[in-house]
Amino acid sequence: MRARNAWGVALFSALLSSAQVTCAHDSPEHEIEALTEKMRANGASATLLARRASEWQSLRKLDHAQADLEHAILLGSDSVGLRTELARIQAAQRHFDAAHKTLERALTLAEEGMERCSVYMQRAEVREANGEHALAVEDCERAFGVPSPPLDWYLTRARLTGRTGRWRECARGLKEGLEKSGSIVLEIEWIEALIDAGECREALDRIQPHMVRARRKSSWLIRQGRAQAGMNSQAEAQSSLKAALQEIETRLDAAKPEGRLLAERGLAHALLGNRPAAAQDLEKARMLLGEAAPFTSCIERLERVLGK
Amino acid sequence: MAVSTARAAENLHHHTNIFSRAPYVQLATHESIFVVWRTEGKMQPVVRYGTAPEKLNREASRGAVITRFATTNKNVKLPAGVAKLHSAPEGTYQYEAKISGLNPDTRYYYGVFDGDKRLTGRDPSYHFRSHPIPGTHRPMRFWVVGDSGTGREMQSIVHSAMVQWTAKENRPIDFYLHVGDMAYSRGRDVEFQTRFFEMYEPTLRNVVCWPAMGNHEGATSKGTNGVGPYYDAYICPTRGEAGGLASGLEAFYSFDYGRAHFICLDSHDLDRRPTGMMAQWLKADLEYTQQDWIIAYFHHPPYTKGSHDSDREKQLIEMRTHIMPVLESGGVDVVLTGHSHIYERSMLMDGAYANPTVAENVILNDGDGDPAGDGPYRKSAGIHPNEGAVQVVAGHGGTTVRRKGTMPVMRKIIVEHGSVLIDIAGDTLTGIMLNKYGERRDLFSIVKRGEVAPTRLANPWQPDKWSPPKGTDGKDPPAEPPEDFFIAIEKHAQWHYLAGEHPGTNWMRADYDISDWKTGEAGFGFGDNDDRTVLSNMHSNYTTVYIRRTFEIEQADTIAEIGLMIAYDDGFIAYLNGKEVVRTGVGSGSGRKARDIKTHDANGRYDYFAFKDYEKYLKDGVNVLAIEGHNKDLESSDFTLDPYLIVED
Repeated sequence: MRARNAWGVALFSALLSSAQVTCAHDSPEHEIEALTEKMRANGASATLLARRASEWQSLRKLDHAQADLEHAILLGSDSVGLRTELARIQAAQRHFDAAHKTLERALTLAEEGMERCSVYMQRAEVREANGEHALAVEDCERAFGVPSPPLDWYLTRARLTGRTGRWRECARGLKEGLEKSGSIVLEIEWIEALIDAGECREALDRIQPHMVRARRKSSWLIRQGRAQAGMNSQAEAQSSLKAALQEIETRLDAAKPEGRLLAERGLAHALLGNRPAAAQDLEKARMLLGEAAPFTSCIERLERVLGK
Repeated sequence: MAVSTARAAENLHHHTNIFSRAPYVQLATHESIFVVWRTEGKMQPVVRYGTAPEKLNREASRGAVITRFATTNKNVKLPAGVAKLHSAPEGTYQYEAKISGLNPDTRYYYGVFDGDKRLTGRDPSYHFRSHPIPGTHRPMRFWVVGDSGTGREMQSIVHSAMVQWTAKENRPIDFYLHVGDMAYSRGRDVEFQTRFFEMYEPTLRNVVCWPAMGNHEGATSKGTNGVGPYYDAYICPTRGEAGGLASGLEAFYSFDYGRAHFICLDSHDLDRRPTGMMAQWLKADLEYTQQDWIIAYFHHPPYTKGSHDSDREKQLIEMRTHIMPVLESGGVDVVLTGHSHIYERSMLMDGAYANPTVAENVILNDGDGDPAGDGPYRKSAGIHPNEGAVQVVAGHGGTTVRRKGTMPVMRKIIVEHGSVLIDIAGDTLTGIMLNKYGERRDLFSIVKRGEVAPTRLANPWQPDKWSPPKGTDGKDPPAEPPEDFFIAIEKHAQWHYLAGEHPGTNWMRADYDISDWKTGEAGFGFGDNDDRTVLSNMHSNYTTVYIRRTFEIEQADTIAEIGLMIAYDDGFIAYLNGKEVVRTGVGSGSGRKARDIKTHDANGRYDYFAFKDYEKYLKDGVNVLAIEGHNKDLESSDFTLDPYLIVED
């Protein structure tokens, strides 16, 4: 699973923070050693196990982290924080059924409000990772029952509704988040969703100020090209996309290209009809972005254009 | 601390002129700035300012002052126009006065008033300088410090070294960047107060500290919702108010100063992946900036072998593999971080995303960057992708410094306390590391001029291999007490004590009857001529001594730290209101079941031990401190148990 539901993390952190040591944070190995020593002397406790699980995670030893969290829960300290963290680790190891069961239990423990909604959001992400997109959207909508959803939830919801082809709904949700926060990330995704929803005139109007202000214009040129193509202004679209390609070539480091920029080049190629070059960029971008690739909006668009 | 509705309501209407947090400046732009302060009661907040200290002829408009109030009492309804202050002591008011309509790059003097009554001194030390208009060519100097918030002497020394250096050069800093861990150990409000605001107060009243979230602040503050003491303390841009693009969150943001663009990231508790909100914002922000210099700062270093290892730890690896490619393709020049308690400074480098980090083919210039040495690092004028950046780990601002290995991309590795000063003038950036003695221990420079074609070095210079000094166990030296403290239990105070027998299991609790215990002055012991209450029958007869006494704390939620100064031989366990808060030299168990006692000689020295989790146990009013002292065995030649209690508030 890609996403780390930040609120789930917050619940877990709250559990950990009550038991921080008073010295400056040491390396994870030192912390693990100290915690193990402490448990050897005084016996294991849920708090110490949870802290050690956190350290294992920072060393990316997920199986150790999972074992500690399971042990913590067995010690009778069942909590939403422990459960959501355990589910996150299970899902990261692609143990989706186990993660689902863990979250079911978390839901029975969670209080109404933010705590419960964050569990729904985490379950949405587990479902997404397991390919259950429609169910994921349902969970996401449940999560949005909270009065002030965290900003990154708007992105998650947009991605999920986009995956089910509900672009107008996707754009509406993003606009709501944008109005609350002014976030440029939500604005960009909103404009992209407008184009996907066929509302290209409005998208073009929104793109224009950015075309003037941005130092690097390629991503805006691609958006402009997509919107122009959506309005059947093919010549203008081609011109925008070619200009984008030209700029990207000056920015891409041939030896160590940046994944998202490569994906943008691929998208420009694809929209210009150069499928082999687009496919090549897609493949390389996927490799560079690793497990984040399937969740990168530019990659998603490129895959759609290429029909992959 | 819970207070009654009546008291909270009283606080809402009570006037006072005492600052509980002295005035400091935040979120400066070329035409505005915030002055922030706290009081324990309500006041009529007014900020007057002007371009001469004796002529404060302008006033922040009433509507421009945001008032926040701290209460945990749900029955208290905040008056209209008063916002919630999330984490401060009960009854605290925080005022945030926005001063607008400033001339750019101009020094202003200010005073904080309660109505007409001036609260700040009449001296000219309350001043700030508005930022230059973004894009203006103007030399700048800023201070970088990390991992400093201990409240210990070293933090103060490092700060003083900077103050003295800049005074000597008659070139003050324009602002400063804190790269996180500014309020050990959990970023609580009281820790912010004593370990950040009070330590840096003279600097904070004049220049803005632009903060990055450290893992210790992250224990109590959350980047996703912007709630906690960190977010109470700072006003960070969310809508591009100071340059750059709107992030929507205070956790990550950017601002412009002159021809430089500064980017702050939250490496602690936000999604660091390319698909996360922060990385997407970063890419967009980098594509927008029109400035000549890009400086990024955050807590977790992508490259380090100080007290942390960037080849092994998740946050550090993710900052390297997910965030660095975006920064470098966006043309970043310098990356400033902390977390690892050391000073490390890299060569000019690009594209080092592999794990483990290697120097081959990622170093673009392997010189020392010193204009008087191998010469400055050179890049093309303006912003260009992947022409190299210098990484600076500045986690040496106050807490214990340590090294665990050699990061091959580093040119300078210095295990000393200090901080970093950076000057930018035109096409040249110069950074120095200033140690605690005020000595310059490193200097590097980047010149951005003309066109430079970067080349990757297949076999760059590399630092010498390093192994830990013999005899060190890799553990921290004994803890230092806080710099400012009061004594809650005096040295050689009278204690109740029980020697030669074991009490009931609940002996450390306040309700346990100790009426039959003896009383005596600390220290307790025998055999080394350092004892006031001599236990002459202890040798060969018993190994454990129990002592107890009470102490009073007026307001527990204002306590930043509490701990024992103690001379001891051989081990002890301390309890606060019945809960274990310190254990040293006792391997397991307690009382008659204590095991694995390790030998320790007092040697007439008092060591310091901070209480763990004391905030859960400490109460307003009377508290009970109980200590059991253990000798290694019956035949041990001496025993010492000589504590006193200190408190930082």
